[in-house]
Amino acid sequence: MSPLLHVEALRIAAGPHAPALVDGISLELDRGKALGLVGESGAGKTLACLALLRLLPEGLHIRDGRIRLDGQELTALTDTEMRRLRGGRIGMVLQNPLSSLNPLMRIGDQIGEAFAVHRGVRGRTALWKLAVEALRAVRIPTPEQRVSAYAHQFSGGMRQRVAIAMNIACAPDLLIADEPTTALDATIRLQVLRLLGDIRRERRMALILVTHDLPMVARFCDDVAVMYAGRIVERGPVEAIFANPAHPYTRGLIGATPRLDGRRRLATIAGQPPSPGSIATGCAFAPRCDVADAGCRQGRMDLLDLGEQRAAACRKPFARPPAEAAA
Amino acid sequence: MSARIHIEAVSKTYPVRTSLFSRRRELAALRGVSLQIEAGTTLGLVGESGSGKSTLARLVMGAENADAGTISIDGRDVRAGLPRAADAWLWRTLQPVLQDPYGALNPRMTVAETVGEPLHIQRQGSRAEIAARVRELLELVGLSAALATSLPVALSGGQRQRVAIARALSISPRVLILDEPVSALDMSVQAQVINLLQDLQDRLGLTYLLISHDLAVVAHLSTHIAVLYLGQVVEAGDRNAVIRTPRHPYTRSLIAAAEPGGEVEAIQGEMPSPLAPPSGCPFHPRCPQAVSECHSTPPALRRISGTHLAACHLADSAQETAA
Repeated sequence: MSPLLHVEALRIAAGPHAPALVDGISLELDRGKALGLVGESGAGKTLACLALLRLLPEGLHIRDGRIRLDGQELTALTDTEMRRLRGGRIGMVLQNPLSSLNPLMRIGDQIGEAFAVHRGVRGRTALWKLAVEALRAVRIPTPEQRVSAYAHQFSGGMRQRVAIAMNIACAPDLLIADEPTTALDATIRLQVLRLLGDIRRERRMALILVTHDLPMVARFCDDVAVMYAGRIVERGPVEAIFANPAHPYTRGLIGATPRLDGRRRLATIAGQPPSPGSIATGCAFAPRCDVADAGCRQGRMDLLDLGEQRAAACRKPFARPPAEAAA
Repeated sequence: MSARIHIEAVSKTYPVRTSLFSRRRELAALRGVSLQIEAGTTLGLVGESGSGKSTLARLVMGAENADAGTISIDGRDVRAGLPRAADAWLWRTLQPVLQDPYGALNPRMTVAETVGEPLHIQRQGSRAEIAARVRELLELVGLSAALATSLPVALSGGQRQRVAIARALSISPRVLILDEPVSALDMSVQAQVINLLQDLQDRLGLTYLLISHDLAVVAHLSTHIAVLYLGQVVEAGDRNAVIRTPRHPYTRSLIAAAEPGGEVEAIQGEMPSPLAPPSGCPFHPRCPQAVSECHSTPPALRRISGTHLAACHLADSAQETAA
C-alpha cells in the first residue's frame, strides 16, 4: 500500500541561486499515523509544512521535489484546486489560534464556512447544526450555546479547540499542527494533545505535529523526523530513536531536555545552529558535533538507511564521544 | 554571601473593570501566601497563567506593595517606596533576569556598555576597574571577550540571555529573580543556560527565585518547589518530596503533563477566573477526587512531613490512591 503522504526531495529557496532553506527533505506518512517534526528555530520545520499546503511566504518557492497526497501531485495543482484541498483534505492548526479565527465572526459562521466551501451546504440553520456537531467533536461544553459566541469569548485552550474543530470539520486525510500547544498552560496542553490523538485514531487521520517538545513527541507520535539546517538528519519510529539515537544531533537534543527525575547536569550541544548558506560542504552539524572527523566536513551527507525503518544522515551513526563511551 | 527570603501571609488584590460600564471588581492575585527561601537555594514557583506567580515576583522585587503580609530579605523589609538607602540596598541585593532577552537589552548599547552600566551608575570603581570587571563577568557567563563591542542585534538568543545574566551579576547581588529565564530559547541553548545558572549558583552562592510554567525546568533547577493555584500555595516542599510524592491532585496533574507516559487521569476544564474563585477548595471544580467537604470548606495548607506542605482535604489518603 502506498503511503498517504509522500514527500520527495523537497527543496525550498528564494531564488535559483539562493541558499536552500529546506534542502531536499523526503517523508512518508501513512493514514492514521502521527509524525513528530522536531528541530530548533530556523531548521525549516514550518516552511516544510507551509510548502505542503502551498502557502509559502512571498518570495519563497518550491524549487524542486514532489509532494503526493494519496497519489495526487500537489506541486502540479492550480491555485484554485489547491484552495479546495486546504481545509478539505488537509487541515492546519497554528500556534496562535487567534490568527486563524476571525474576531468579527460568530464561531458557528466560521466553522460553517468550511462546510459551505467544501461540502456545498447552504443555509445558516443547517451550517450551524454542523458547527454544533463539530464543536461537540472537540469536546467543547454546551456547544449549542458556544456556537453563537465570538473568538474573544473563549479561553486560549478553547480557541485552540475551535481552530481544531474548523480544520477537521471536513474530515481531512492529513492535519498539520504547528506548535499547537506552545501557547497553552500545562494541563490544557495535555488535554488538547489527547484530543488530537483521539481524533486521529477515530478518523484514521494522519497528523504532522511540529514541535520543539521532545517528551510530547515521545508520547503522542508514532514516528519522528529531526530537522537541522533545512534537512532531515534522522527519522524513524519514536521508541527506537528515543531509546538509541543514531545522529549526534538527536542524541544532543535528548540529552539537553530537562526531566523531572533529577538535578543531573544537562548535556549540551556547543555553539549555535548555522545560518542558511553558511555551510559549504560536508555535514551541517559537523562544526558542533562531538564525534565528527575530517571526513565529515567533505561531500554531502544524505540519509542512510539503518534498517528497521530508520535512517540517519551521519557517517558515524550511533557513535559516542570517547568520554561518554567510557563512563 | 547568601540571602534568606521570608514571605509571610502575603495578599495582593487588583481592582479591575471587565468592561467600561461595569462595576469595579476585585481580582485576588495572591491570597495569604507564605514561603521561605533559604540562603543559596532555589525556590521554583510553578502554576498556570493567572496563578499569581508573576505578581509574587513583582512583590519580592519591591516593584509593588502587598495589601497584607510582609516580605523580607535577611530580616530587612522589602517593599516599594523604601527610603533611599534601603532602596539602594535592595537594588544591590536582588536583580531580575527576565524571559525575553530581546526586549531586555538596549539595542544601541554594546555588550560591554550594557554589562558595565550598573557599575557606572553605582560608581563602583574607575573606568579601567569597571572594564576589568566586565571582562571577568563575560568570562563568568561564558561569553567570548570578542563580543564585548557587539550590539545586541549581532547576538543570538542564548548570547543575549548570557549578557542579561552578566549585567544582573555586575553589582554582585545575592538574589536573582529568574522569570521564565529559558522559555524563549531553543532547546540546545536552553540546556546551556540552565547549566550556566546552576554553575553560577554553585560558584557564587546565589539564592534563586525561579518562575516557570515548565515543570521540567523547575524540577531541574530547584531545590524547593511551590505550586500556586488561583493565588494560593497548594503544595510546597523540597524538590524530591513534591516531584516524587506529590500530595495535591493539581501537582499530580502537572507532573502527568510533564512526564512522558505519566498516566494520571488528565484533569478536566480550565483554571477558573481569579475574579470569581470557587467556594471551598479552589481546585474542587476540576478535581477528580473532590468530596462534598471540598465544595464548602477551603483546605488549610498542612504539614505532610518535614517541610512538605499540601492544601488538600484528602492529602492523607493521597498516598493510597496514588499507589
